[in-house]
Amino acid sequence: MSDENITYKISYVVEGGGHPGAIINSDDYPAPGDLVTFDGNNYVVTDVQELMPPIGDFGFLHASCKIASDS
Amino acid sequence: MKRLLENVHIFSKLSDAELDLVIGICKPETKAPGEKIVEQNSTGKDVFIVDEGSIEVYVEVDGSDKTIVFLGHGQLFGEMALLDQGQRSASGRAGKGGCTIVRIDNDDFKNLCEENPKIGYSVMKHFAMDLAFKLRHMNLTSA
Repeated sequence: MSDENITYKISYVVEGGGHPGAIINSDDYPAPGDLVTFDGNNYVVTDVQELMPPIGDFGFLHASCKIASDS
Repeated sequence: MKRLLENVHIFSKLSDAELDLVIGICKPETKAPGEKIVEQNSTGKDVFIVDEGSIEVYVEVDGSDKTIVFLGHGQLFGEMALLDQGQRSASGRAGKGGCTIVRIDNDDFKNLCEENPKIGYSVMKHFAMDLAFKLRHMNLTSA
């Protein structure tokens, strides 16, 4: 699903609620198991879905994540 | 700078020459961890773009800070005040690792859009989409 010409706008939502999550652009399509850092912590991606249809060179994704056990 | 702007949705449809015009009004800044960038209810109207690190966006609720989102690489911050000329709806400070951002002066930005209607149209169209994406994120995190 990755395309080297696409920028992905990703909404990261932390599982379990109670965390505001993050919005980050990336050249790479996230995949379950990937690590992402925000709020001073590492999070591991658990699921990725398309949030809006891609437009031009931009993809719009929703990624669920949970705090990494080693952070 | 051009690589960053190419990763910012509101500038994604601009040509290289148009991006150069935008670069001309961009002012890079580095912020220390926790350093305040804008204050809720203030009247500043500059727009910010996150390059590295993150901005913690928060509002005051009953005397305490409530974080509503972390904005990372390629994200806009402060665009609502530019659009509606109102007070800042939220505060923003550098995340725990600090951040590098780009500041775009409100007047410089409006002048650029008025002098270059194609840039103005594209940017304003994508502003709306950017806000829609943020709303979708808020809906997901508040579910």
